[in-house]
Amino acid sequence: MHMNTRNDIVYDWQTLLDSLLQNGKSVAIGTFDAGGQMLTANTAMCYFMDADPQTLKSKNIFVNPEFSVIANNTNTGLIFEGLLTLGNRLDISYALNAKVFRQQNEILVFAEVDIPLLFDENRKMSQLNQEVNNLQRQLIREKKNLQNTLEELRDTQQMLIQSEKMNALGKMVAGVAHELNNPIAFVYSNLFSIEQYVSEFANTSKQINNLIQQKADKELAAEIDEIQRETDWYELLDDISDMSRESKAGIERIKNIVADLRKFSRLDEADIKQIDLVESIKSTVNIVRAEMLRKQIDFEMSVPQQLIVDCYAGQLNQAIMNVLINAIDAVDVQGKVSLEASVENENTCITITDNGSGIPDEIRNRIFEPFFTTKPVGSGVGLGLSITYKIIHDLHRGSIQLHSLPGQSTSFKITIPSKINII
Amino acid sequence: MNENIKTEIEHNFLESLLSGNKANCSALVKQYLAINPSIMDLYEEILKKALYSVGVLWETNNISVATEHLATAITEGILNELFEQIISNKRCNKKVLVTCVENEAHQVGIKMVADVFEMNGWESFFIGTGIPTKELIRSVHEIKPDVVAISLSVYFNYSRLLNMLKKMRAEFPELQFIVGGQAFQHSSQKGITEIENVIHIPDLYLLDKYVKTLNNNH
Repeated sequence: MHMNTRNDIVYDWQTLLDSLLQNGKSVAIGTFDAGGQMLTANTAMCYFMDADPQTLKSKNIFVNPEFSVIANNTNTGLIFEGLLTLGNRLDISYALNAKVFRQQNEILVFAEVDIPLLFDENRKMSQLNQEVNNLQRQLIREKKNLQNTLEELRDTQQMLIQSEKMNALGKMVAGVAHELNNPIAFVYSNLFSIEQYVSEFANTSKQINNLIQQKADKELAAEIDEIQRETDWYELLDDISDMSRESKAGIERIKNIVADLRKFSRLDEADIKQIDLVESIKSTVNIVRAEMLRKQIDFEMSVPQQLIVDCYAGQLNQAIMNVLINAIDAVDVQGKVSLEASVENENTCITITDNGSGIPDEIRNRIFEPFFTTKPVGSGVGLGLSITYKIIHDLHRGSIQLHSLPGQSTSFKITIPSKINII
Repeated sequence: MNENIKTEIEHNFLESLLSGNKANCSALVKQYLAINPSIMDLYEEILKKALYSVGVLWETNNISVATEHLATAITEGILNELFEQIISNKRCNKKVLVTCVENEAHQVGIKMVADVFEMNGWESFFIGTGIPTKELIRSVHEIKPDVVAISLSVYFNYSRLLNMLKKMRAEFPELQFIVGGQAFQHSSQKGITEIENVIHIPDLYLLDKYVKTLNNNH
């Protein structure tokens, strides 16, 4: 039976230590001649010098301090102590804690990797990397926020352009309506006079004829009668009377249209003020009536005698018209559209309903988005409802509720407070 | 998704992660998303699995801390690559504050949690790692989140989490807490769920359901 003696153990440990020194990668040991030629090297030295273990030919060099600087010291014993950088002056660089000894012309390099330092560096790098990652994340979020803001600004810009256009159009309409007022007034007044004159003219003519019948000789009476028959004298008089009556009715309609346009645009009422909403609604309906007639729409309106509300009149008319136009567009020929207005508690409600195809669930939450439209290209820019939303929600602190049964009907209920505390 | 392809991507991803090949990891993520665009699946099936494997490799002394850090850094970089498409445009005006247990520095998992909230329109606030409870309390007062999510990666820190939650509960009696992380994988949630309004959520799918329920309830 073999017993381990103390010497055996020491021998074994010695072998282990030798092997560690020879093969370990954290302690580099090598000897060099005075010219820098590697004489012996362990695995670590071969690694750091990038040397072939057989030939000991190395690709790396002493970068800092250079080998010649160390070798210049010809003393015996320790000739250098400190950080030694080995590498290729390009992409490889190892910093090692080194001690260099000299014995005659042989130089021994003993260098170790500072493992605690590396751990520490690694930890710091990890922390820095985390910080960079977190910053990057913040930047991405900021970028996204900016992108969203930019998109919103673009939409707002387009809406402003559109509402500016509407405003300009409103001004033009109001201007034209105003300019038309004077000529309409004198045409109306002239027609009134013409009707009166024609009636007097007809009476006088009758009296003259009576006198001729009574007092003129028969020959003269026959000649006058002949002239009157040839010129359709009495028919002309009847026609003139009919024509002036019809013209008066026509000019009456023109007067009403102009009045509706002025009421609708309400340019003189840019600020909030109290109005009769029923009057406004009627004007708005009159403006879109032509389109309803063209599509032969069965339109029903149920409004009270009067609805007094505080509002931005021109804008509110615009909102109601947008919803009404959408309802007209949504129905087929001979479809049904209705408008109801009423008071509910402190609020005024306007509900516009159509029996069109309804709004599918999947687009319901998009209809108030700017530029969202289901109308064919060229027939709508998709701003009507988003402008309406802004007018009702932002300007009047009201709400728009949508109730739609796909394939059956759609109804928009606009609710605004009847009274606003005007500061 | 074909199981073979998934296993192959999973395997290649872990290999690239351990060898520090970020470009390859990125390419594998793109390859995965081209077949299955679900970011949640990507997180659960590829990223989370890979990182849990890295954790096991470290615990069993097969890789160094440096390699673990490298793998984490690459994964975080990938999360950031995806972050822009994750942030939902529809915001729901809700806030979540996410953090790790005091003294822990593992922030990848909790970032995935933050991303699930972001996908659902929440605003997430990540206040860093290693934040002392006192500091966390200050942040909650400042940010006023609807939910606080805390991640626990190392089971060793379990009692720390418990103390942290108790302190926070005393300060904010109504606040909703959710906890999760690798540490809960093989261990019980002793003591944690006994604290009122603390829920343990084991994976991102359940987290997504939980967030959606919150969104629908309010």
